[in-house]
Amino acid sequence: MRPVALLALIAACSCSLRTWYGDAGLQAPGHHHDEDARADAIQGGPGGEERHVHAAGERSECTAWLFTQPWVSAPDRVRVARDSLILLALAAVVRAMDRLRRG
Amino acid sequence: MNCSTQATPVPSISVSGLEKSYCRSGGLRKFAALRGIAFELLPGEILGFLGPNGAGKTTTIKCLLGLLFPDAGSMTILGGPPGGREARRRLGYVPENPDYEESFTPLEYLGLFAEMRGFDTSPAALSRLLGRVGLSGWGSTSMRKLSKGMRQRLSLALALQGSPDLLVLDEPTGGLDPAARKEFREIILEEHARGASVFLSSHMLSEVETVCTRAVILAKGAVVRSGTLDDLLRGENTWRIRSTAAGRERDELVELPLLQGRIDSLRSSGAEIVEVARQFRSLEEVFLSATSEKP
Amino acid sequence: MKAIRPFAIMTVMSLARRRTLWGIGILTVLGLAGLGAVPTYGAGASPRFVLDIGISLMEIAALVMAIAVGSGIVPRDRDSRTMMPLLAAPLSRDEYLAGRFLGAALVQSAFTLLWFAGLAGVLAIRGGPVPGGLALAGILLCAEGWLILSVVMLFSLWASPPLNAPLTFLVFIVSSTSPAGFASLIPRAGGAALLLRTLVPRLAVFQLRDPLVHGLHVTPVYALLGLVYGISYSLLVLALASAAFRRRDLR
Repeated sequence: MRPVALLALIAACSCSLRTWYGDAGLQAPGHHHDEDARADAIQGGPGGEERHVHAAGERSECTAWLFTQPWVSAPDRVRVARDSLILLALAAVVRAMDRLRRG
Repeated sequence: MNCSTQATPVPSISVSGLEKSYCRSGGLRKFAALRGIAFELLPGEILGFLGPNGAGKTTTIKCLLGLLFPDAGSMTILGGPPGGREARRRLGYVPENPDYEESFTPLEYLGLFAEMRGFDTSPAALSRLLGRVGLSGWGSTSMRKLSKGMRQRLSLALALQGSPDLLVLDEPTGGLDPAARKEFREIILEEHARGASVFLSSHMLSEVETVCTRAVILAKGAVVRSGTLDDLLRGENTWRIRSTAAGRERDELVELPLLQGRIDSLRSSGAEIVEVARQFRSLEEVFLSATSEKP
Repeated sequence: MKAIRPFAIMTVMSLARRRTLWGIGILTVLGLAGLGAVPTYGAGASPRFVLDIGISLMEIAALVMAIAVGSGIVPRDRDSRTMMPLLAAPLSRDEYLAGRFLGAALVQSAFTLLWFAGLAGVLAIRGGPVPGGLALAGILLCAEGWLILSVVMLFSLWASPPLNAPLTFLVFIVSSTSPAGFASLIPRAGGAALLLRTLVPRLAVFQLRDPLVHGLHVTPVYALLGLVYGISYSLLVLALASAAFRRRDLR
């Protein structure tokens, strides 16, 4: 049952708590929202403390990092395409060299 | 002008100067498994490949099949390089101690191998093959329930697929009972009669003696004897003299250097020489004397 | 190359009969089903919670599955000598690797898609929205699985399964970090760390958990790019594996 134990351990370590509680977990100490962010809903958290939830897909200071990731960043998409081409070319070079060495 | 050209047959297997070393003690020491061995298997021949344990038989076979890469020497199998597409298509291989994935059945294995090699995959063809090696009724049995002998029969069935031009058999009858060994020998002879070449590596000297036309004896990675079975079994140095004197028949063995002197002395004593012939030995005697010599 | 298809089928049949894989697959499905029974912490958080934990679970299950499927194939064939009759007659070494990889990739993909269908079912039962990008996430996780599988198979040419698992896990961890983040872990050899990080794949490309949880739109074009990236990387790793395997003595 080693794989199962590994599965449970890794799952426990890797799960992001960030989204369980909206984005409150990402805020740096002393962080303040600007006027635009006041529109975010303020709700009572499970422990009684205040937390806020952004609307899905909304860009704010706390979710800014999301918009630099490859799935939304156009330059990064170009990079993925470029990397794919390089990798394919490298695979072709490895095959060609292998064939040459075999004669 | 009358020109006649005689095509020399391409050997089914040709090996020359084959050398292979293995690393031991974590690469610090090298052990020479093969030391410049050379032999040929001509089309339609059955070649016995003999040698004690550790002589290099399986290493040679693995080199021939492209599973091991030799350090030196050259080899061709069915006219091409070892492991080549053409060679693989036209040969059948029975490994020593065959092992197959436990969850499969013989029919599944035969079907998948036939499909991989582009041979007939019809149930009738597969059943015929199973029947030929004595596995009728076992086709749908899980491999884990098959005995070693049955697995060996399956490996022969796999090797016979597509009527190969060359059969490479590595200790094929090791796990078989005497009746099964006889069936195995009959199949080898049938394949030989069909025109296939057979390379038979075996410890069973009686088997080699029965089916092979030529033999190569290996010891400590080197060929110590090779030739037709007649040549090997005929004593090179020992001769038998049959003579009669005073109505009594006498039979004696004499070494070659002493042969002429002994004939002369028999004649001078009034004996009549009936026969002088080379003494034939058993393959076991040849094998033991060859493998005990220093190569 | 005709031999690859039947050999891949043979690999699928062989893997489908292993209890370990069914164990991992079924436990993951049970984990996903369990998500449906977890109480919610807040009115809007529940679907996000299910999506986040569900996709995380599948990402890890895909890694474990790739290791379980791929790490044993070559060593097992070599140790049990089932490789010899295969390579002696029907298959070339390239065909052997390709067939084993394709078969394993098929099994891995089937389980991944099954899990995604399960997650969509859980979301639907809980009454939450099923994001349109979930199918794309499934496809990209398949591509990630193929990539990890190719890495596992490359390692398996030298490493036994117990050594292969931590090696692959290490690659997975490094591949999941950002280049700057990884370089900062080893400040004394930042350049070497950056080079190593550049060589290993960018697994962030395949992981759509965050955009899906945060309700971002992921285009099919992006998924296609990710798929091409995964296939390209797998092909490179397989080309390296093939070059190494072709020179190996099979004693």
